Amino acid sequence: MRLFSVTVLSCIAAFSLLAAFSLLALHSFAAEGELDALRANVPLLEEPTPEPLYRVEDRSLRPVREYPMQPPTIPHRIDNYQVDLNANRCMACHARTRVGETQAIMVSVTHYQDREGNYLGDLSPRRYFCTQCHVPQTDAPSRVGNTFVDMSDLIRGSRQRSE
Amino acid sequence: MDDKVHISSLVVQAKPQHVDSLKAECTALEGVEVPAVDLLGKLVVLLEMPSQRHIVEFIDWLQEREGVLSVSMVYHHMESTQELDREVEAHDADTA
Amino acid sequence: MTLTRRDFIKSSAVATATTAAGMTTTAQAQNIVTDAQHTQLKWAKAPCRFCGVGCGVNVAVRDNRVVATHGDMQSPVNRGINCIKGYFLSKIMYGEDRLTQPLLRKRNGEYHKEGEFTPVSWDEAFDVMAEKYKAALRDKGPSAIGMFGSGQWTIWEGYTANKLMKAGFRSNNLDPNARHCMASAVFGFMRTFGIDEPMGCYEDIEAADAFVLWGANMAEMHPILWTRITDRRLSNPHVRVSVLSTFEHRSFELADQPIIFTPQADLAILNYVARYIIENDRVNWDFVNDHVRFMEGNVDIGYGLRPEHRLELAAANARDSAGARDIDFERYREFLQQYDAETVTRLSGVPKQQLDRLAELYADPDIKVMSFWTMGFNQHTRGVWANNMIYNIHLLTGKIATPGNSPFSLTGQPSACGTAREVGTFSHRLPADMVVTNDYHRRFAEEIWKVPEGTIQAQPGAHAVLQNRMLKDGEINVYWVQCNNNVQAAANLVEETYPGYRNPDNFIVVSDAYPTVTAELADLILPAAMWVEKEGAYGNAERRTQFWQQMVTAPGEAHSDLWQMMEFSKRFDIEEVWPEELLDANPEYRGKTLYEVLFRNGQVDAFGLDELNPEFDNDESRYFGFYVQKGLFEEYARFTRGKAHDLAPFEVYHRERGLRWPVVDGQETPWRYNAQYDPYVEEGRDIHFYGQVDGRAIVYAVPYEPPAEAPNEEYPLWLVTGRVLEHWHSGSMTRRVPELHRAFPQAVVYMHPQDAQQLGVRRGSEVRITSPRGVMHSRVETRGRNRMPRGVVYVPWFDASQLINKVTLDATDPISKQTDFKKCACRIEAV
Repeated sequence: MRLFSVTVLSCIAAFSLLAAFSLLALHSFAAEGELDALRANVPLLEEPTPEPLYRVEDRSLRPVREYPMQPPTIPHRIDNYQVDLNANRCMACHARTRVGETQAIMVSVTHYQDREGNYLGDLSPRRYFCTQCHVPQTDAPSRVGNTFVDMSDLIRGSRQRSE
Repeated sequence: MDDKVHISSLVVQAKPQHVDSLKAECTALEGVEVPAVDLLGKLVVLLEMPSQRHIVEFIDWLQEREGVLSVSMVYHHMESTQELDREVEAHDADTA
Repeated sequence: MTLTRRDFIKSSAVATATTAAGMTTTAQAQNIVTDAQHTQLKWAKAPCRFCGVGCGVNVAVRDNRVVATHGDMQSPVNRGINCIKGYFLSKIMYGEDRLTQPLLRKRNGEYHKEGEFTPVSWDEAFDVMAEKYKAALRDKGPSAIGMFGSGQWTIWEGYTANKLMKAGFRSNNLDPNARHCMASAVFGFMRTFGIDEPMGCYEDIEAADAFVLWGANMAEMHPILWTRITDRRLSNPHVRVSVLSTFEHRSFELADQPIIFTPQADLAILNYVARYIIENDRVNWDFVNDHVRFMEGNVDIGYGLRPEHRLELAAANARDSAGARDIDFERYREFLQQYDAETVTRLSGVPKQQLDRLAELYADPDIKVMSFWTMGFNQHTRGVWANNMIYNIHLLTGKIATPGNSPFSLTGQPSACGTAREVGTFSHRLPADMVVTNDYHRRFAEEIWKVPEGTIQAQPGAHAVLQNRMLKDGEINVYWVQCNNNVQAAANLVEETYPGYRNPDNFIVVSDAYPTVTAELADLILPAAMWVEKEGAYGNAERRTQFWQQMVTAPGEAHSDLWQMMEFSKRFDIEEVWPEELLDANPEYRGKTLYEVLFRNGQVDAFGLDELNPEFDNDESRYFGFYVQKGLFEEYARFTRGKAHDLAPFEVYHRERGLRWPVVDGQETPWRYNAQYDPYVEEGRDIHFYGQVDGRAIVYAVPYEPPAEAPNEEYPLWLVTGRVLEHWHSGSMTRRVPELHRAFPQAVVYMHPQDAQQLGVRRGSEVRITSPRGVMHSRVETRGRNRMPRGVVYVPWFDASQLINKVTLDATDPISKQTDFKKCACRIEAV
């Protein structure tokens, strides 16, 4: 089977990112399975060997957010954490009153606001189920890249251009 | 090797409209970086120079630039090149 | 990370200086730019691109790129929160394999079915495509043309497709992927109320005392509504949550009443609840006497398989599945007697005590109760019945159309309601709940569209599942798929989907932003603009119509589906698409192109470019020379106004965070059928089900019937398919977002640890899942978010490298034609 060849020419200079839409030179490709990177080069009627189950990263290193409003991913395992009507294991470390002892990061101040934006005395019930917004990360390799550009790179670029 | 390096940082107060041009002039010089600017009229200048004399000359030069209101040195450190190129653990740096 | 001492000293020097200067900085003292000119982002509102909840997001743009998104505090739907998918919307357009130019299968410089995908110009792409359309029309007529669209189309895209297919090409073979998702809900509404979509709204959540989830896993599939339910439950200890499902999932974390039932037995449980209400004298007679009547539906209606299938041949009423006759209350009561506790427990596996606790939530007149369902009911060979049955319960108790009392049908796609349903892109529908089979409705549509009487065909076209069968059988020969991934989504891939796409007699066009497995099987791929690369409108599950502006331009030569359809219509002279007799009777249409007839009709092109908001681009309008979206919307809105579907003027939606139709005199309608809120309720009535001629909603006597396929000796396990929180549908967008991909990188088969042990496999083992229709390989998961009962396995379908629809069965509800993706039999073996 031929390999799906994609040439990605990405412009590295931060300040010309504007023009740096990664250019996809699509050579002709026909063999089935070679077009959709998510299918991973296997014709539709054939069955690939499934990838192994990937491990959840558990290094507790703080992830960088690509914009300030992005919920941080969870940098540790959460297997068997009880979060239900009776208990919230996440808040055992991340609650305001707990972080002194645990040195975990306090949940953001927005988590103490109700629907109308009023501050509550404790965690807002609408934020109770943490994994709706925060997810652990496995060590799975990407099937396809993403060309999202951090706003600070664009801002630096615009400063440079105006100088 | 007896080479010494002088590392200094300066806070420069300047007129807002000159901040950009001052930054450009500074960074054009060898051993000079401008790691932070506040466009309302402040620059942080980082110097990495072979002697104290170089630093004094730079400050004199800078004070005469158009738009500069004041220059103050807030940090100075001198050490041998050899010692400075030693690798340190990130951990050491954090706790130092 | 290694640092030299020099780095360290320098960073200390900078940190000291910036601190002294009172400037903010990081430890590395990067260039912190505070100049507003440089740090400014341009923000605008949009609805989320994913599910039918319709959360509002704010989108930040910088240098023609989306750089951030966050939950819109002003949106009444989500008040500043998004789920994990919504928070990463900013990245969905930037997968590095975006399609940027048309690709045509070619061999030796010519189109060839077995050729290689080769970049071509739009001109060449449309030339080849038009030639195929014209040949199909010439050889076989309109029925050889088909189109498969989406509940992800914008409102004007769906409207354009409807017009192009039903009036332009005169083919009703147009269906949306919402068929897989919402069709049973639609028929449920139409049968019970005579008008589509929920009467209540999301504010019901804050007013309800009890929530019952019928098969829905809202914690993963409708997370923001789940935050509202969680808020209500945890803030008000008297509130009760009952969760019913065929396996234990994340929504059980909040359940006061967790109930696991045998697949298909929801029908029996629903009838048990109705019987409980009647036998315990808890019927709300005032309500029932004034607002309800009773009917008994045809039974033994088959399973929507091919007509020669043994199950269809054996079914007494396969040809009249929707038939029903009037009965009285006594007959209904008598009919329900078979659903005694013993029988229902035997069918469902649910003990009487649990059944009674559930029934009491509905029976107790002091409990305001909200029922939620989605794919559990809708993807069901008796999905329409299940929808009818849940309304039965709410109607018997009068718990409907008042705040907190709300049977609420959730939707899967962002505009399943707004586009697929309201615009009527189904094969039997026209806008505003009208149907092609009704002479008056066709005439009404023809008048608004300014096309001659007789243009629209009176026969319903092919629905989604039938389209695949007709492609395989060579009856549909040109087929345009937009905005969805049906090769991955449709059931029975190997036997019923694949052959039609690769049938040498057929020409398949796929418009998409990314290469999908559907695109793989196409003959021509057209690169599409997505989400905020175009001006758009979606309608969510609570009838809320929401608009957004074009914020960035699409990459390369990609164009919106709207542009593609309009531009393609220029390739046809009206004489090439309409028959001579139609033109003889209406000679004024001669000499025009299809584009001129459909879009330069004095209505669609009524608004000039001067009406565009100068703050935003609008690629289609600039190209065609008039405000395309406004013209299409205002023409469409004429169908809705005065028909209880009223939409507000175009501009209003660009200002508002959406409005819930009917919008009359500038006022939206949170609760329909209720005189306090709904202007369509007749004077003097408190509640009025005006969708039915006599103003009465219908309670249906319909039974439990067995599923099309159940586990047996050879295939001993139930296979249930569905979604996961992190991925939306076929994953073509979410799997290109690194954080979402890494959170849930591949499909797995969830099973009970003892089932695994019995098969000699354990967590992580490779297994082969087999049904009579196909085979798929996966890996075993015995832990994590789903806890399976013995004998039931769950496989999500988002993963293109694990196509579980090779295994599923293409049985449908015979009334709604919606596939049952929740029940078939399979066998699992170690590899």
